Amino acid sequence: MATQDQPIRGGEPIDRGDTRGPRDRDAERREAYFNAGQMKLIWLKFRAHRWARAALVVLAVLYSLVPFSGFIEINDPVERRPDFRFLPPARIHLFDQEGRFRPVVYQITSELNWETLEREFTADLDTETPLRLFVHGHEYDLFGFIPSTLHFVGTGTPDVLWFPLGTDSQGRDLFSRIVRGAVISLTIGLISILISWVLGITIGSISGYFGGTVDNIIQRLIEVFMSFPTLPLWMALSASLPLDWGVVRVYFMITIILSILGWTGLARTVRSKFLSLREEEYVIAAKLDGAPVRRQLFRHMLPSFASHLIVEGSNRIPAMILGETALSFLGIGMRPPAMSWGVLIQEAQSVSVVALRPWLLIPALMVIFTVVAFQFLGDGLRDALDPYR
Amino acid sequence: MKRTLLFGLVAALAAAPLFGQYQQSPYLDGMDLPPVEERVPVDPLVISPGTYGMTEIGLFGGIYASQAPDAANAQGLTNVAIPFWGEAKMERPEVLPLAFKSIEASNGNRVFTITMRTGLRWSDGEPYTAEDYLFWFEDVASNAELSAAIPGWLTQGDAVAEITAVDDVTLRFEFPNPYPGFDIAFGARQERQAMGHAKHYLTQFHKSYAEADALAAKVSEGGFEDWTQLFNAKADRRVNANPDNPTMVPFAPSTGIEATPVIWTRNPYYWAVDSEGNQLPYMDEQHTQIIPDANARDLRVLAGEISVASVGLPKVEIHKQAADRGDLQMISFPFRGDLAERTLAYNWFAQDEFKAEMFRDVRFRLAMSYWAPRQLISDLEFEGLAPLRQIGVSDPSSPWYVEELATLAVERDLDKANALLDEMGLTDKDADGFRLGPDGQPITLTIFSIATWFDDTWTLLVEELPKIGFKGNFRGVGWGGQTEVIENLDWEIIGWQSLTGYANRDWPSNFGGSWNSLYPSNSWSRPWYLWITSGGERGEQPPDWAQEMWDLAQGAKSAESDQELTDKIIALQKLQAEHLIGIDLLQFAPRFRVYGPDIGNVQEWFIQMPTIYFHRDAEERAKTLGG
Repeated sequence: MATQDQPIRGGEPIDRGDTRGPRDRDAERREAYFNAGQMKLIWLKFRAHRWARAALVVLAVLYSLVPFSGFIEINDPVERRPDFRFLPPARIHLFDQEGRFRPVVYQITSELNWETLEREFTADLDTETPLRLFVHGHEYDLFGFIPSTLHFVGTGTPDVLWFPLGTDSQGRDLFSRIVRGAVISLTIGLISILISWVLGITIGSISGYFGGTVDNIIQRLIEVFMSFPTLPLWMALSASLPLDWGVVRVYFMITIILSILGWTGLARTVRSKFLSLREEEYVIAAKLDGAPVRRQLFRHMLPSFASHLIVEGSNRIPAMILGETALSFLGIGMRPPAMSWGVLIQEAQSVSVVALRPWLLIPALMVIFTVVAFQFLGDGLRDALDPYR
Repeated sequence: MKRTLLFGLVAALAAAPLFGQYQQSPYLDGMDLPPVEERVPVDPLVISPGTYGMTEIGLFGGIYASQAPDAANAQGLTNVAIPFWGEAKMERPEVLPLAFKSIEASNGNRVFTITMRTGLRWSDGEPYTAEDYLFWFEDVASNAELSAAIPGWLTQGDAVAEITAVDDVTLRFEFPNPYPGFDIAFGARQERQAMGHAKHYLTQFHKSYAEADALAAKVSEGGFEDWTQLFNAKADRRVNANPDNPTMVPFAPSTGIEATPVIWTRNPYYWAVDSEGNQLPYMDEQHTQIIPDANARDLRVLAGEISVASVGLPKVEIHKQAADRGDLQMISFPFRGDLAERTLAYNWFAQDEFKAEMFRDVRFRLAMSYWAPRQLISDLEFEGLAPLRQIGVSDPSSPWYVEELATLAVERDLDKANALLDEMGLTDKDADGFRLGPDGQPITLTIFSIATWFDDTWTLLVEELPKIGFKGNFRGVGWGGQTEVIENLDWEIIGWQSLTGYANRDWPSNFGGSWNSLYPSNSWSRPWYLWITSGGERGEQPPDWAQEMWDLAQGAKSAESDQELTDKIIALQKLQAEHLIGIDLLQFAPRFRVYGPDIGNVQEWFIQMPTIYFHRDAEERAKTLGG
């Protein structure tokens, strides 16, 4: 049949030297699918989820900011520049004054006009400077320990400064501050998430598997932990930790302490899952087979709802980012001179910012962007982790 | 007594032909009150256009709208009843009469005779007499249970003023030594307490007057621990919200502080009229919303809902836009006086002994002054308009100005700062260049911030500290939370405003008081103050030079000639500069004042007289008058 000779996918060249027909190849693919390992299946399923794939790319880019933050920064994010206060985002001019295609920027300065009491911005056309890749600028430590001055993009000269997202009230570069702030915002809660995740799974599974008195004790303990009011505890801790600790260290310690309280919700879900799972035939079979408790728990029972656990874990990361932002906004989380997205948003929380300098709210967009990306990723993971469904 | 009666009679007769000379607000019509002529003094304060900031005669009615971050500041500007106004400026100011009429010096500036207005009355109609003033002085200010100390402006060294009531309207103040600046001190201290204690009401809560059993019953009934708590709650001088407590201020409490909004209504017995005979204030009620959030407060100001507010440089643009739209009126006013925008003080009594010793080393303090990035702060926060300054007098037009003291170490010089610290022996450094303390750890200096208003400055300083080899740390508490920290001396470096306060003519009279205060930037000197005033029983003995400063200030108070005063103050400043107890960073920058869109009599005066503000808009006035 003529149709049999047609490629399955348009444009796919047919290898005439291959004696097997397309039907065989199709079957092979199906067979490959049926024989694929679990990880491969997860990946295939995940790849099919377009939004999750995009989210993964976004998050990969964001998290790559963490080790490379200094490299990405354009200007020193802590340097204050009185002449460049409240600059709006500076656009890149794709063509220079002679009309050649060459991305250039101009130096913009700001000054308060005492007649009108308005801030005036002037771009100096004489300062035309092309943007270049891999330029030398302020010092930083790559990966936190390799001193370097190399930056991804910039003007390459300290005479003309380019502020792609504008500057704040102190003339600091907002773009570079967002990049530097990402380091803390994206990572500071990870350890605490891990701690509460591990605690939740371990204690929950013990409670669910053994039941009876053990379960009873653990459940009452959970109730006690759950009754701790988090916000007052947070405020008390932030006031009582040692005076000579820096803000970041205080914040980190608080997240650790709270993670010791924060495992309870997950433990409850794990327990109820285990209560039903231990009646399953394959678990009973493993038990009768004489498998030790640890093997029963972690080899047979836990993987059956690993998807839930992983999604639960990945959903906690945006919660932690939002938590950092919210607490810093309230003034009891991170505070300057620490730099995080929450701090940047807090610095923007005034009437005049909303009315006159809306670009200072960009850090809030970053938070939204990141949280949404994590939601899509979690969505894709949930679909992918149960490949047989 | 007879004389007063006679005088009163004569005055009443003099007033009689002019019956109907005063008008009251229609707000008071129909209330059960004596005629307005009997409510205001025989010789009231008369404000005419061109005086006291008034530009035109106003109209009755409407609400004075205000707001406050907390209950303590709820009434704000209008909670002021002051005897005189002595402007805080360097040249000898004119002392303007307010609630009181005149002050005369005699016996070589040792005796002062103060004449009050005849017929002053509390807001409940009872007469305000010299007895009320004495009640405040003898039973409140001098009562050790109620007051920590007698105000510094009423003392000369160990001696306290002797105050006697000559008659109902005349007070005599006697001092052992000459006190040429007393009239200014009396006016400028704005002692709202002095005119805030109605004897006829408050004696029932005072231990020296009330029957012990009845007082104990009131204390336990109100849930107080002792009578002083009861007394302070009833006198309520800070907040002025107890509706039962008579006052002398233009608006008397009506709802109490729990209400929203808190409402004060016009004091029917207020002692001032305008030149056409209208009894002030023009507005009928004061409404205060208590709003902790600064942005929410800003929004109300921007919408023109607040009668008057003060605006600093960082917010000027958005308020100017609102003013251009016609939502509010905005004026700038020249700041007179000698205040510092930013100040650093060190805790000489810090709990960490190494640090306390370091703070006590003058080389450290000098190094900090060389290090402080004054110009950068001025550029960042005040558009470069706040001049760099040092502690002491920074106004070049002042006779007390000494250039080399005023400009000592104000220009940044990191080399000098580092050299001084090296000289102190702080030479051990780690790989990152941080100076090491005796425990082998980098020395961390913690800047303690009160409230959040100046945090931009303190975080900048924290980030700048590594330039002289210190790690910087930042610690803040909300407004109100600082008292405990300060009392316990549980801080290292404090950031605030104005170390030495008003360096004006009145300065020496308050010097002792400022040493005692819990005012953030003065608290470091409290142990010394306690030692001096308790005769060495409490506190800590000050070093000789600090004792000398104290003595110079006391001497300056009694200086008989301007030259002597100047000599003493310059000597005091020299000591202050030599020991650089703390550093002032910047002189005050221009400020702006905004008013609601229809407020009349907006003032470019440094002080404010809310009594003469009025609404131009008839609808606004009708809010309290109906129709």
